[in-house]
Amino acid sequence: MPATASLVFDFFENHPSFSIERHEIAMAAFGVLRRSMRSIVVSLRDGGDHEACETADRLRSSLSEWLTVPVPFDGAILAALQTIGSPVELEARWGRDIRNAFDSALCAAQSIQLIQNPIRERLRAVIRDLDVGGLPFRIYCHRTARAHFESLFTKPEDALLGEVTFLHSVCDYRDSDTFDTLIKVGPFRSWGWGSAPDAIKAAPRFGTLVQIVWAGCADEPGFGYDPVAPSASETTGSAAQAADESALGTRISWTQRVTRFGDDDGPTAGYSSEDDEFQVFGRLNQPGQKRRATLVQIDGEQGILYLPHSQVLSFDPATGTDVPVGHRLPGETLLPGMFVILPQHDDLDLGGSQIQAGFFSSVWKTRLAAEYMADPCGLVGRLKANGIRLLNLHSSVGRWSRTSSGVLPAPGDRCHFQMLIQVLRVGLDGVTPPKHEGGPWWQSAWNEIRHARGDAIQTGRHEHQLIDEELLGILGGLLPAIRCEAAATKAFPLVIPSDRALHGSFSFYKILSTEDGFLAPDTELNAVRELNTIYQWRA
Amino acid sequence: MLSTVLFSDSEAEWCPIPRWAEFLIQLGYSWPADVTQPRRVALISMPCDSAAAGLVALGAMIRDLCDPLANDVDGHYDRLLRYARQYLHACRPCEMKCNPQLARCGYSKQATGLLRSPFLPRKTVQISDETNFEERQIAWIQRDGQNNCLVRRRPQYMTDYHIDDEPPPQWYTADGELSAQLYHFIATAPFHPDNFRKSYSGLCLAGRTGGGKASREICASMRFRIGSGEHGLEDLITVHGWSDRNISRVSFFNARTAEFDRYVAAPRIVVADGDASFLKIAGQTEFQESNIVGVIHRIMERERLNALGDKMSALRQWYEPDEDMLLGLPEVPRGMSISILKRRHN
Repeated sequence: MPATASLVFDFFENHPSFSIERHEIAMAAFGVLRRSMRSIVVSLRDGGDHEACETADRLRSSLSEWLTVPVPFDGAILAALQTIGSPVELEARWGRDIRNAFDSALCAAQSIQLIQNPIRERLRAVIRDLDVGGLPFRIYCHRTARAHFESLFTKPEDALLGEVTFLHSVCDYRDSDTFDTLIKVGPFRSWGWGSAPDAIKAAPRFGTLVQIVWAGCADEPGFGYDPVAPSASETTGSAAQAADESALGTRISWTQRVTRFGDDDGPTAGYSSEDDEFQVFGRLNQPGQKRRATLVQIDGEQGILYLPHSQVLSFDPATGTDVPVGHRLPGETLLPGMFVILPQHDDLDLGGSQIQAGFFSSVWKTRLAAEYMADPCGLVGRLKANGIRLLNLHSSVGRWSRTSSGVLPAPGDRCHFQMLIQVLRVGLDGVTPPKHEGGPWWQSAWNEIRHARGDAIQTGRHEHQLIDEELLGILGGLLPAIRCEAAATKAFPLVIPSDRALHGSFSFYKILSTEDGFLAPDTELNAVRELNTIYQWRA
Repeated sequence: MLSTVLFSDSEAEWCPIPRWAEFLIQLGYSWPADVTQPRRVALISMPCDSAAAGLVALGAMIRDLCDPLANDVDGHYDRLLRYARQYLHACRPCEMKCNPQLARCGYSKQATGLLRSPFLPRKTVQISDETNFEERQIAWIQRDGQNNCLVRRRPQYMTDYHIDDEPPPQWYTADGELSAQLYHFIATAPFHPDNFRKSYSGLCLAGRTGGGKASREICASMRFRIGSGEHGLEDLITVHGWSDRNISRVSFFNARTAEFDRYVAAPRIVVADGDASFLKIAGQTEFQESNIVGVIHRIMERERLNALGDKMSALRQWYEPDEDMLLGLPEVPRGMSISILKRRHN
């Protein structure tokens, strides 16, 4: 039962200040493991080839998990390291320095197998104390991390966590009542590994925050953001937050107490921000070729990544909803409990684009086809020599020379097209179409290609719109069946009736949760993937 | 605030109106009503989800009940003429049935050409081609059994007729009036009695992106015991169709469909419920002269918080903090914060 507004305001009136108990844990062997892995990740990302970056991403993902989840120190850590190869293979691929760092990481991973994870010990002690004191508490963690918390108390006499409420998302936090203590492992970050809602600090529903964190993992500056944060004098801890001079109100006041446990006398005594993996990885993991994405988790094992502003075809099983089937925004109007709909259908024959062969294209394509047939290697060599440096130039030339499909295909780059025309030496015979208005021949031919591309894009959009409308119509007709299936199961297929223009089926998946904070390449979007694969894209 | 009014939030026990709710009603009530004032944009940050936007709208509605000019009667005939012109010149010949957003025709809502009268509750009449805009004379076709007859009325009698699916501009019998007793939240409010039987569209509630139902439900979760009766907030703010009230003093903008509940000119104040609604309103040309009060809860993802922060920062290029108004407010309840910007003088 969510706390009512009156309860929340009463809670604030009764708590003039909130407290953070930060437990910082250090451990020499784990410190060696961290430093070694960090140095490998940084080196591989600097190296830049695709395989190196992929390996770096896997290591980054593993280390980020160990820093934000109370994993047991068992063979899984060593196994995760060994998946990237043997030390000899690593040396052969990336050199001696990487091998040395990898050897250190393996050695550290082996040595910690004999020790309990101190984060788990601290966590156990904190939870026992809260339980003895009878203080209601919650644990904020990612859904997949829950098993590691639950494994802390497997003995019957420790059956504590059965009564514990876990919070996994902004929605969970919004719907929670007020309580005494919130427990969080790892630093506070607004997204990615260890992410948590800013509201934990901007709108606390608890009096005490217990944060158990590895030494060196700092909270994200500005965490606890409120777009209407007043610039009152009562600021502690989160003073880095941007204050709004036009805002009136009382800023939430936090008092922090840091307790350090354990010891790490590694090569660098203590940690600076340079050693904070999350800051280092954040710099490495700049968007680049990847795009921000939101995870829609559809069961315990699988999920789908969508761009944040995707219009996702979905079904809302709630009775009385105005639009049960429609397009929704992940995390905003597409919410847990609804169903994602993935259509699989044949192509709809809509006649295609009516792009006819133009005057210019028929000239240059004919010449290209003739020259390519006569001397393919010679032509490709001349094109390369003139500056067209495309991979698979042979197959590209083959495609461009096809006249049967109209103006397209053609080179995508204007410079490449100009070079092609220069090499072919077309347009020098003075033959021009009736409406040619002067200017270089290649320019007129390029304009013809641009027009054709515009037509093709327009046709594609139009087709997409028509298919979309047809799908919505079909789903509208299937609503009774959809409702019936949705009430009974979390995932189901539905075949498109045979009397419709489209043939195929729909797959429905019930949404378990949504989560922001992913940076993924285009190839990983809009498709069902294993969560383990998806998590490597968590920022 | 009168102590005789009791309050209940989400079926909790009855209690006097809490300070946070009182603050929001007071804020709506004290919002500057003078049209000569510079435009203001406010953002209220709440620590939890609630019907706070409805409370601000209630306060502003109480203030409007005191304003003799706050009614839809005065400009009613002009509104009907605009509606008739839209119907005859734009909507009737239009082939898109009908989404003004897609058609980009500049209208906020389709005009069906139908009018209704409280005196003929089961009938509608259709605006006719015989309407003469130069002479400002609306004509309509009225069915009487099998016969159709053309009707023209003098403008002064046209308050009997209103646009179909909209509240009438005024109600003539006592049973359809709002009860002044229900709105005595502000003890000193000098009500203008005529307003209790007249509709008004100058105050607008922009609902949640979840649609009208979501907005209505959250308002219904807040209840008031006034005298011997109990009333939900959704009933008190008289949004058309949310209760069986005959008149409506608050228009509604559906932030999901981007549609108004009535054929309306730009409202003077818009109270936006939620971040998406606030951002939509702040970017919509229809509201570029309206005062905006956005009410958000801050338990949301960082991207959404950033979008709000960015919007407020962008506004500061042309707006400045309204310190006078901020300093004139009662003490802001702990956990709530409010930012008010007003347009700079050129």
